[in-house]
Amino acid sequence: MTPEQISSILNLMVVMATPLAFAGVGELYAERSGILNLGVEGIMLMGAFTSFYVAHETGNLLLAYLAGVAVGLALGLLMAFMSVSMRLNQVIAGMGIYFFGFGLSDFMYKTIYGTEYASIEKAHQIAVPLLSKIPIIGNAFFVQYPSVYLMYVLIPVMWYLLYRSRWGLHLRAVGENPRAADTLGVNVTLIRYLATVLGAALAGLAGAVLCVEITGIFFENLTFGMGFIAIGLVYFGRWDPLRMWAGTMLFGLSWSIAMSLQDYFSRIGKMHWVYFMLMIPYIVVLLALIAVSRKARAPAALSKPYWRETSE
Amino acid sequence: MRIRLERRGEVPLYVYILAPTGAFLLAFLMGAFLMLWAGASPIKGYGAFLRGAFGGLKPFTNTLLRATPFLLMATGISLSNRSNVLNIGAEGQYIMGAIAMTWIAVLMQNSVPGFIVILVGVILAVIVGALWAGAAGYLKAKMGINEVVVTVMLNWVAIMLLKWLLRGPLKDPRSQQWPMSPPIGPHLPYIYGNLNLGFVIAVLLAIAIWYVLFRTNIGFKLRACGENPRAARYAGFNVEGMLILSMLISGAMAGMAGAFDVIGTFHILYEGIVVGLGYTSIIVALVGKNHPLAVIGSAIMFGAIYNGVTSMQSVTQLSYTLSKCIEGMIYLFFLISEFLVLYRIRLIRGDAS
Repeated sequence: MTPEQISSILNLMVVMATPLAFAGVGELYAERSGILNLGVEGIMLMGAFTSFYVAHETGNLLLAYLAGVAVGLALGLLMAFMSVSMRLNQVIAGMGIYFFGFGLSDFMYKTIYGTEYASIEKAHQIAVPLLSKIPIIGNAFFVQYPSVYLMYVLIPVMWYLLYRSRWGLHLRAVGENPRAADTLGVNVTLIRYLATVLGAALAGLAGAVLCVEITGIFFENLTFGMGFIAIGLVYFGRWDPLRMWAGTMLFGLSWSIAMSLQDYFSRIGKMHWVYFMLMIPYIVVLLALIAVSRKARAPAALSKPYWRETSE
Repeated sequence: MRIRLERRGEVPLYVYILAPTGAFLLAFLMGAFLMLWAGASPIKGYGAFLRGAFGGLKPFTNTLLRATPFLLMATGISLSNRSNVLNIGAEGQYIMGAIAMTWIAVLMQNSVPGFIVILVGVILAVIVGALWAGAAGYLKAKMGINEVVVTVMLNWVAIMLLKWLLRGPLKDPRSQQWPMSPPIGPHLPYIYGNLNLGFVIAVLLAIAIWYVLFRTNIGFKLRACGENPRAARYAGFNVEGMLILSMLISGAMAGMAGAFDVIGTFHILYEGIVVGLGYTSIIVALVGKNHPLAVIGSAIMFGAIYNGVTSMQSVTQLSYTLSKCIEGMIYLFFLISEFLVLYRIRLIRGDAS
């Protein structure tokens, strides 16, 4: 393998890991506050469609990212309302968000664009001066899309917020023991709302990243299960942003290696083996989950609604 | 002023009937707004919808045909829901069942009689589906891994496997362009029009599972383990075993649905079978309140929605994915209506609590 090949595999690894990292760290925050949001995939799909629509109509990619975030915010509010205020079963409520996003994004796309082939001009990879000159690593990590650089900053910041800030302490307390947190004057409802909405906004951004940077087109189910993978990686990362981040790279790497074999398979005239190889990333995630299962411990109040009045 | 939730004491029967009806009407009303947004007339649209779903014997048998996979999968999902494990993977188990059936048919249909092909194919599909779900059940029971994530991963493994097979080992050598299997000759006996024996089998299985759940010892144990695992374990029930068993049955039903669709509806295997029927079945189970007999009605209703939207598509040129929006909204409104049945919202003036 030549250095160029290694570099391009690593480059694609980071690209694929980025939407997962956004969705994953958002889900991690929600779960740390006690809310299991299974609607991530639906939110990503809506974020992807909306950003595609905005990019297609205005040509402004920044607006497209923002549109993804905005849709995420709205759906996050709905999820928070159902799970925090109405105290519905979170698994069922989250599935509802998923179905809603899945159906609506596809319906709106097919209604607006029909069967015509619609595409947008994708964002470009930007080279960082100096750093991009480092052999292999430079090309892989520092000739990247805008959101990748955002990820480099965001995940450490989110880690810092969660473990080193007062707000992060409150968030973790609410997820472990909401009653104790409530007794000490922490606003359980507010924190759960904030965490859920923030997490959903990041999922919306993840969808926008998929469309604007990776595919450049929209199609049914273009998330390829990434929303659910993100939920799995939160578990894999044992609710720690940095370990979760490592998990996204693991998925990105297995996807990237499978894709890099595409040229080889098309050269020997057996293109269909690419699909066989694309089973591997999902199997890798499953094996990763099995590997950490003994050590994983979820936040104690995860997916349990909090009632102030009753003892249950 | 504060808002407080209070649990209702006695719930009058009419609330139980009005709330879900309201949920459905609201969802269809929202559907009408979507149609207006898409530039179609809701009256024309819903007119075509009703004619397509219920307008005569032939449309109605088509509705029942569409309801068959929903009924099989939703009955299985109700059962696993009862033991408190959520099977999101019916989609993947359905695909695996369809693959197993097709594989057997391609292998055997030129050498043995049709009914043997069907028998062997369906049995293999049931086994493969059961294992596909059972794996998730095992990981949940023995290692505590979230079954939602595992079943969705397995869905994608199944989808990629299908794509690979249709372009490789199962590809019809005569088809140059489209990835599809050779046509499958053996088919389920027809009852009327396109409606085949699969629907009858699905209804009988739903009744059988209702009987097992509510009239037998093992069904009682299964429900007890789901409702209160701690108490069930104290009573000496095998909670993990029940969980895995319910997933095995759930997957077997989905695998059977996949096989029935191949030999009853499509007579071919192609990528178009992946349209999310397995996900819809989760909604079907929810609307049927995880009760196998109620699921029969709910499955027929969703069959009507899918069948109706198809004929709506030909009249109004709306995308068939409208059915996905409507079902998503039915699901959300249904949740809210359930909530309103159980709780009363009270506004309290002043600070007194």
